[in-house]
Amino acid sequence: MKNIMKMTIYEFFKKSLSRTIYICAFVSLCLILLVNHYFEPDQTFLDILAGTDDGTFIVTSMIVSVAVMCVIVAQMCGSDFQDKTIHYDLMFGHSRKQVYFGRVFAGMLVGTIGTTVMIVVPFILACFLYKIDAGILWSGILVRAILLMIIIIRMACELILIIFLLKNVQMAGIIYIGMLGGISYMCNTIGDVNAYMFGITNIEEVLTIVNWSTYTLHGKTVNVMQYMPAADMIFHTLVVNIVLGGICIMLGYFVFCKDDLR
Amino acid sequence: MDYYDKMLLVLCMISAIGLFVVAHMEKHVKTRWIRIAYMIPGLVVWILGGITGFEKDMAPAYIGGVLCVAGFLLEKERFRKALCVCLGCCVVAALIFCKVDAGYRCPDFVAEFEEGFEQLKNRYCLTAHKGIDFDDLYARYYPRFVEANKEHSKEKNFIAWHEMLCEFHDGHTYYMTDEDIVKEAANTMFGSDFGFSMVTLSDGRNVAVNVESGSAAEQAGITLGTEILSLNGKSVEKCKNDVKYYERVNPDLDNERFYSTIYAAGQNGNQLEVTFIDETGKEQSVSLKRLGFYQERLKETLEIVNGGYDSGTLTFTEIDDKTVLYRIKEMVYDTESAHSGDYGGLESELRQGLMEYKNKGYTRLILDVRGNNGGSPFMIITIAKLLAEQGEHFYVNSGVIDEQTGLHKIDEKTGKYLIGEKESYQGEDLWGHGDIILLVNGECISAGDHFTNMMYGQDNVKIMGFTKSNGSGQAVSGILLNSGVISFSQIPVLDENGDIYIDPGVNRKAGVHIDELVGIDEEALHVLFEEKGDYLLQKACEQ
Repeated sequence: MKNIMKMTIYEFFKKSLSRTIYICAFVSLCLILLVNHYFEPDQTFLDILAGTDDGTFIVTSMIVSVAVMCVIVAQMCGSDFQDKTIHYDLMFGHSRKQVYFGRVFAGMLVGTIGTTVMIVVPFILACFLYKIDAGILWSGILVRAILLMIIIIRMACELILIIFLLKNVQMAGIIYIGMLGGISYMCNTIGDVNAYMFGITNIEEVLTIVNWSTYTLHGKTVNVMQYMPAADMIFHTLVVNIVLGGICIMLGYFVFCKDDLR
Repeated sequence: MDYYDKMLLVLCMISAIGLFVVAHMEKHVKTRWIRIAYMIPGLVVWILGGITGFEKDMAPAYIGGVLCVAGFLLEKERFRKALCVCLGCCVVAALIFCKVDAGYRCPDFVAEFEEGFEQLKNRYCLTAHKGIDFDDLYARYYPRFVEANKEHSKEKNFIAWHEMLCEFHDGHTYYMTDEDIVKEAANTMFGSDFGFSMVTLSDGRNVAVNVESGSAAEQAGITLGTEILSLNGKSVEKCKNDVKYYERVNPDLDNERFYSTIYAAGQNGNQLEVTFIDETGKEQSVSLKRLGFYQERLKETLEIVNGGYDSGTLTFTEIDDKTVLYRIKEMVYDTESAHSGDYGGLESELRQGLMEYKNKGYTRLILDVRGNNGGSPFMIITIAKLLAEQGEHFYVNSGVIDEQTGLHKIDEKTGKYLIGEKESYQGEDLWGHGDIILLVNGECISAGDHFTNMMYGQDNVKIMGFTKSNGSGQAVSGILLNSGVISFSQIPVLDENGDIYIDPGVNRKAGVHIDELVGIDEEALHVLFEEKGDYLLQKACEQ
């Protein structure tokens, strides 16, 4: 399985398209930060982390990170289906279990590292560019960042299941994005939704640092922050994401085991 | 039943039937898609169940949907068919549970009470001022929420919140929920209708008003103005003391006493023993049967007593050749000014109107703020400065907010809120040539209270009403719960000395002013309840 992982990682980095997509996404995030700072020099670190408007940097960062994770995982797990080169791995004597988990673990490893770099580096840059608000609890932010990574990994597991069901990377991507959009729309329409069942709503829950808001008589909004997530949020996020991610991986494995790969 | 739960059950049932048919076909067709289709119920449960949230009565459907995924792994046709049958039975079981269980999709009222109460305790800005004992409130009301939760009664939940928040004696502090639930709860809270309402006259007598035409009460001799002595053997004064629920809380005790007479006519039960003074001056008693719920008659009576001039808001209406009326139903101009705080448009409109009527020779300006629900403080400054005497006028002081906690800072030595910025305005005295009469009532609240206070004390201003304005002047926030919203006073507004502006403390005397408390007499009864006229406006025009 280690050899399959090494091979999958090598193939991924060999493709210039994959490298280009990753670098473009990374540079875009940094540029967005720099441009935002140029046009809004009065914004503080908390404004980009937990502003009240929808277009905060953290939301952009999450969208790009999820997209990059999906691209990495899709390329590493699913690109062999279309040209049928996955058969060679099986013909060389590797078991379906080794082939499947080799690809999945390689995809998740590279995806996790890549996404972590993509989230952390712009935020370190933000710390230098923006004024740091007093009273920020960094441990709370770190806990939220770890929870976000777990959610992104779970979303990657969902995509892996869809890829192994459809055996077509492009279709899987379109269907998965369509599903995310549809679920997001339904959740916005209904309002009160169980946040942990879906990656998108779970991300939103974890990103919500504002506990409640008040205002002064002059109309200035004051947000009271809760940096450290509540214990039940940590528990539910961990349990639900690990269980659902595990279910998706196991289902993907069963699909692959029983598939005739035609 | 919830729409998405119905959708989940229907889709699972269709899947169960479809997969049962497909199970029979699969061994001949041998396509992977048919086997993958066994994941559909699981997907439906995940999406629809995740969107609507877990409901214990739907658990069989959730379990059936998840179990059906095993159909993908099982080779034998009979096992897959068994899973489909199991899914179908689970769907039927879930449907039965949802229909039969009264607690279906019922929120946890106790958990909501705990959450809402904790936030209210931390954020309510008048706790010390009003002497609120939160521990005592918790001890007395927690069992009510436990009972409401046990019975899955949304009405009892609303009544418990309503009754508890009435004890704050704060017009800004109340619980809001679905209209249908409020109406149902109001039927319980406001008692039964026996065909009449009551008001207290200026001479202290409690008389019948709004008597149902042709009712047993009317036939017994209870008509408009009949003095009522007792209800079910209890004096009217005792009945007034027993009133617990109000549509609009009046923090000021005098205001509350005025309105409690109207509420007192709604007694519980199917029969009411009424003692009254008949036309000949003799004491009579009659037993009246319940006609329905008192809620409707209560609303009618309150509308008659509280009604403001029927015109558009922020409009001038010529009453006679020297009187013009300017109606202000709420302190809202338009969306743009509400966001920006810039009321330049209103200012120029009002200035133009005032100058026009001044030039035409009008000398009396009636400002009707009855029923004014409040709104922007910037708007009241805009209006007040045009009418105030020339010179600088103090408005209010703001508090000092702690940006970490969101609460306002308190001086530990004095126990008062720290004074922040001062708000003042420059008067222009555009109506200095004439008189200004301000009409108020107990429904005039918040910015309406502020405006009344700002106008008080000027030589050419007279404030009139059956009652003072409401007496709730703090800025408001909300706590969002699953089944409702709690509105409450969160941001303190301070007077010149740093004391709480307007809202009464434990003595229940609001810091609002009135120049003439107009009593309801026989003439007022006739104008209000027979002619359906505006008695206060009539009195204002006689000034």
